[in-house]
Amino acid sequence: MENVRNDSRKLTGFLAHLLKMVLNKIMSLTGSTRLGDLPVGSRAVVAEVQCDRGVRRRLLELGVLPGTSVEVMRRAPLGDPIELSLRGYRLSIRGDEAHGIVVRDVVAEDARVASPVGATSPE
Amino acid sequence: MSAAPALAPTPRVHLVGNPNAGKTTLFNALAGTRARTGNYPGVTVERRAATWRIGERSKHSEIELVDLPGTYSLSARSPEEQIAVDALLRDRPSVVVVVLDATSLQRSLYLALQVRETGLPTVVALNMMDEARASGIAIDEAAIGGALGATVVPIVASRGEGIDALARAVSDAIDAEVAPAPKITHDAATEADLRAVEEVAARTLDVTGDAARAWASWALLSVGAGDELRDVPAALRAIAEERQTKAEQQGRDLDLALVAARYAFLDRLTSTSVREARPARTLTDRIDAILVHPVLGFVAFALVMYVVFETLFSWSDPAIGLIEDGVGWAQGLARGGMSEGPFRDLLVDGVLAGVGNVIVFVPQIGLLFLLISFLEDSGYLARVAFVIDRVMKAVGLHGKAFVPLLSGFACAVPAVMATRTIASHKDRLVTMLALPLMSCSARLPVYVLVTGTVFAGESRIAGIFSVGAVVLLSMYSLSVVATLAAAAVLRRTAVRGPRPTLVLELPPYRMPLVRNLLGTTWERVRAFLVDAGTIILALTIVLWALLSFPKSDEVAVAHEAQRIEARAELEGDALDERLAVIDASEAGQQLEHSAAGRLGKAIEPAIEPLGMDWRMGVGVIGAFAAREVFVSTLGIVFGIGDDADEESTSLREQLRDARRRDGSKLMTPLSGVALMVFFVLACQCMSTLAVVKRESGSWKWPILMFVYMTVLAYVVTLGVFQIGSALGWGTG
Repeated sequence: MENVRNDSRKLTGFLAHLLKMVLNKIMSLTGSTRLGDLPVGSRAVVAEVQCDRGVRRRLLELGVLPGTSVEVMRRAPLGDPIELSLRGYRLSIRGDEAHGIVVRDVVAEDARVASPVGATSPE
Repeated sequence: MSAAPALAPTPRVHLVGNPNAGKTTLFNALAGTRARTGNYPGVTVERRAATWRIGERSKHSEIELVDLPGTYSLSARSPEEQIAVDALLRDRPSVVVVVLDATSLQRSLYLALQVRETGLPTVVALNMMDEARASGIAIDEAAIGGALGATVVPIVASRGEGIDALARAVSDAIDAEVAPAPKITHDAATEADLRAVEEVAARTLDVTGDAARAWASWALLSVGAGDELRDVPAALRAIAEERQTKAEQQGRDLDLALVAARYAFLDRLTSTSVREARPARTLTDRIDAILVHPVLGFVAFALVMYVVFETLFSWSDPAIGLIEDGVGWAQGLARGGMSEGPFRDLLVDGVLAGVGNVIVFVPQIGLLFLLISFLEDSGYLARVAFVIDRVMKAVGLHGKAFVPLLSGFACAVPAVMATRTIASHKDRLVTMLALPLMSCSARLPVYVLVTGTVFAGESRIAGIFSVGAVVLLSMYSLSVVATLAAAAVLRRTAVRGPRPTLVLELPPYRMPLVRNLLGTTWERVRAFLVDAGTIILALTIVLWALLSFPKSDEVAVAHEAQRIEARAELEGDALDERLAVIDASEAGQQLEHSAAGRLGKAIEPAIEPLGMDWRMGVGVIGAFAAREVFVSTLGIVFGIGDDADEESTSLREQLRDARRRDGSKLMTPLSGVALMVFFVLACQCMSTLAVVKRESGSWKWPILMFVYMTVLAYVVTLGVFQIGSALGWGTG
């Protein structure tokens, strides 16, 4: 039983990895991926913060740094702003700022649910 | 530092922390709710201080505790943000207490690290430890304290847990030798930049060691094009800018390097000393699934906003009525108990009326702040901003501007005070300056009087709506459009600044503490009474004097003669009736003779093109006390007594029959609409001006507000009346 579970985990993990690579490939063809483009539920790692200096400095000091992993939790009912989860807290920023944040290693919502990391979540 | 004098000065402890970290709760737990509040000079930020009686726990029996504004960082671009750094690096308190939310240490330790970099003795209060434990977060306090060089005390401020230990830690820190600032590793180029700036900081600000270093990293992160920082030595600014430019030319990202070095230090620390369980679906997530749901979220939003609106618009009415009755009773008592004369009038119509004008706002301010504090402390206010920000963004406002704007429909005074929840100084100013255009409830009596006078007929538009209702709705629509347009224009002119943004923490939902709600509410009410109240009282007395003096002996003698005549001819009810008519006529003629009456006549040439005459002018001057006073002032001018209200048929008839000097009708549908448009746009309210002075900390902004609104009202009303007249609309 344990073996079967492990194998299926490995398989889903592999599939997730594959999906991620394909996704990243597509993204790299269309240019850099922006946090603002990610669907709700996606996770990614911040690669670059390219906003105006004032906002940029605030975001950096709030821990939105290259290397920080963020999750897009939800969009406001009117589509903007968005809610992010990072460093154990929730931050809301507008789409304008979210489009200034370049991300990498995107894990889409579907892949995450199937991935070993997501599997520990009760959802 | 010189040797300690025999009588040691009271130690000063500064409290810093992120917003939502429970700083106010801790402040109240330490010093009680008796904070002394005042403004930092020249900015809109309030300074709270109190005496902390630390008692037997320490040899320092009393400590001066200062609550600094909530912040995520010491870096600054505006004078408001600069308060925190000045309070630490210039004031140099004995100890700094940093309040952190233990459930989000990965972010909040950033501020603690910055504070420690200043080299000041620091105690870290890890608040909300109960929540942290419940969600399975394990914290190695000793390791964090060791790395930062600070004592770390776990507390639960809302329940008073850990307060004794915190007091001991603070007391010990006052006397202990301060630990050196933590060593943060920078790359060689950044290190060179820091050294260069540090040298200039040491020279220009007369500091050494850690303080000079802290100033250097502060300057490199804060100084820059468009900053509005104050008292930064020119040489320090120059070297910081020079180093920034150089880094840019070399393709180095200095801002990132400085911030990332701190986070690298902290991430290393938290990776070993903070263990976080992978959070399950939290209570906050479950609540948010409803409260910010695409559909249900709007229902919840509408419900909460309905409650805010009703609170101001109708639920505070009984208390307002009680106050008005009370003031009326006191006025009656004074009138009956004193002999007739100017001193009695001063007391009754000046001082008592002025006190009434002030305390009549207390129910609305009190109830609104109870509600806003509840929404803010529970975490929902941030969601209000989240839900409605898209709409506010369209006009260059912040999501948090919504509640103040909505409150503006009831009354601008509590609404202006409600802008306090907006963190950004400029966003707050724009909201404050635009919201008096929202059609407040005091304008309603003016609309009712005018529509009742000029649109009294039964004609209906499309067979359903009465003309009056449509006109009323148009006035409300005009007020909303004007408010939003004014905000957009102000953003681009008088309150220009960086593109407004929303970077907003959505804190976990928490149950607010009743003590905090009452404390905050009382602080706001007291601030209003003390600062704005005195201005309103003084202006009421000035206005009373303008409307009362000088008096004409001729008028008085003539009316006295009429009274003698009436007493000789009539008796009983007929006599009383006749005397009331004589009184009203005398009041009207005396008002015409008064300074306000003369002023009304003096401005007549200016307001004639708006469709008004001097009597309207006097009404407009009287309405400065509060817009609804327009109605009773007109009552006096038209000689029907000072108790006329907007439903008064005699006042309506008088207005309908009133003629201009050229014999044309004063009140036509067109001049009625023009008058209402004027009241929508004009800044006819001294209380609003007083409260804007209080909240913006200077006379500059209320003056700007008065000027722009008056000009706007004049120009638009002129356009309406002149174009309407030229086209022959509603002139008959």
